[in-house]
Amino acid sequence: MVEILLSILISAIVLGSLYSLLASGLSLIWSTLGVFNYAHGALLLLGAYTIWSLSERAGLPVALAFVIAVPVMAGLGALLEMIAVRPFINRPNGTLLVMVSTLAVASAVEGIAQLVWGPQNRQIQPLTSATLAVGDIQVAVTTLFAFGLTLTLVIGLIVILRKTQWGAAVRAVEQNRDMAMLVGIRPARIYASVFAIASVLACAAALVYATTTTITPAKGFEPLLTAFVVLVFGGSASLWGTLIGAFSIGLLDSATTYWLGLQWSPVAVFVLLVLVMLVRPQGLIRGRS
Amino acid sequence: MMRNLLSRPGCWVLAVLVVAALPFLVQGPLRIVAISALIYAMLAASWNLTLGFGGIFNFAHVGFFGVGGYTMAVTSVSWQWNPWLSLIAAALTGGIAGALAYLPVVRMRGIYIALITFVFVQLCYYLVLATPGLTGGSNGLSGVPALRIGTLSLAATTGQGYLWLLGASLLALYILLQAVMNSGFGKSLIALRDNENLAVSRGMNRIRQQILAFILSGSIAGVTGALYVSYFRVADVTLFSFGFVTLGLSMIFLGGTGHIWGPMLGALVVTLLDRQLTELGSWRAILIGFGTLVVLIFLPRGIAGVLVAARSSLSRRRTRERTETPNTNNSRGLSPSEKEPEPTTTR
Repeated sequence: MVEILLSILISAIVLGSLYSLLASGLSLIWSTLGVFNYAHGALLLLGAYTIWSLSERAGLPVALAFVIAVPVMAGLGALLEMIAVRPFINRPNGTLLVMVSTLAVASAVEGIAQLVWGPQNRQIQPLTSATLAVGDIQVAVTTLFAFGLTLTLVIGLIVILRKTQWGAAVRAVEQNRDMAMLVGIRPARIYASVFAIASVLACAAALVYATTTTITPAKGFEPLLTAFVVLVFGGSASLWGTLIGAFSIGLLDSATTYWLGLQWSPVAVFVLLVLVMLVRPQGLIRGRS
Repeated sequence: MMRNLLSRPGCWVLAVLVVAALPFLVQGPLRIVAISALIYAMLAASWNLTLGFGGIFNFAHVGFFGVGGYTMAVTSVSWQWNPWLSLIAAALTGGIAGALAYLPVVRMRGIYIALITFVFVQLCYYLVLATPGLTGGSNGLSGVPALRIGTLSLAATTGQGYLWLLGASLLALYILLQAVMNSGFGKSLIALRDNENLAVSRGMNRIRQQILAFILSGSIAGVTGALYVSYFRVADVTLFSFGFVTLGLSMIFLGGTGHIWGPMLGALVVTLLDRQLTELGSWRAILIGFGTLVVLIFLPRGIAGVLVAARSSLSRRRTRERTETPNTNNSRGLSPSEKEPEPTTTR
């Protein structure tokens, strides 16, 4: 029994890391721009394929491939903001239009991935195959690495938002866009940089995702939707809430997968989501606003 | 434009004649394209009831379509129902699905609605996979019987009956939607979209009107999905796929959300284009995705908006020309030069 619980816990840590990295990017975009980025799964895919190409095709070590992929993904994130968000954000009904446009980009990226990388299963080699013995269970070192990377990046983002001038500008735009413009902040730049940061987080999520499971061009949406459940669960206003929500959903996901089977696990997660939304539409964890 | 055309009795006759002549106008392999276009036109037009006119960020419509399709497949294949009865059942389940999808969003606004309704489609997808005994799981259910009148199958002679049935259904749907949008109910939906506080203060019940819109558009989508499955003879999980959502949205936004016929026109254009793109494989998704983006950026009101603007500027020019001719006769020499550049500016 202990072994079962322990293996569920380990799987929850991996899933929780993936969901935190995705959901914190989504949360940042949501709280700053008030839109949901359906193309976030596409960013995850592009990140994973970029790392895969650099490591498997070009023969670079995975860590170096990741380091190279980060600026590439930042650029792609900013580009996404320019083509799919900027033209619509100030129109009436802009949030709906942004959702439609990012969805369109997501489906286009899926086509591009099919074209460039093909429909085969791809997997990135883990950084190390070493394991740690915890009781009778062998824990992969990469699990701990994923956990550490996640905590570093998300908590780092929280600190940056609190302490730096850029963070202050983001919070200013978030709270009052017109006043922010009045003091010389340019929202367009903030929005592009927010997308770039979210895209980098998605790139880290891609590293976790593609080393633990295989990826195909169609696999971008599944983690995105769970990340959305995390957002609702943790409340979109605070990254701490996102972090707690991500690991709770990760735990729920791995526990239901173990006891109910792979098919019923998403059903359980989504039903929980609907219940949470009915009872507490503002999320379970109170945000900073 | 089309509304004015259709309100004249002669044009109703013309529309009925076009429907009657459909099987003679489209022959052979084109029929499958025409039938798909008609089905998508019904899907897009019923979707626009909640998305465009209701202003509710409803992404679940594809789910209602799929639920209707699966109702058709399960009742007519596994339970051996008469397919016409299955069609009615699909209207019911589609409507129920609409009500169910609306319930979680009662307390929510805007973006949350978009996400929850999106999750509804995913929930359908996973439920279908999780209950292979009923739905055939990832294999789907095939061998759906065609609709028949007496002993005559509608699928005979490459779907001649389906062309008639779907053409007539689309026309009926147009009339129905026009009646709905001209009724107090339709106007209250628009009022709730444009100024919710004012509408509520005037005694409108937001939840009741919107759930009714969901049930109505859901049952239309259910019937449409049932017709789709009945024509293509198979129901599988692709009914709930992302491709369908994007395709439907591209039709609505290309056609234009402001008019009943906009999404219908969009469906026609996208289906015809899509047909040309099928050989291109992955390029198809890329072209449709980026095409939608370009349309959203450059044609915010869709084709319908462009047509209506073109027509009104044309008629404005015509009335001006009519009023200008007597004017120039008794003018004081100044006005012709004054009025000359005007038509060019309105273009």
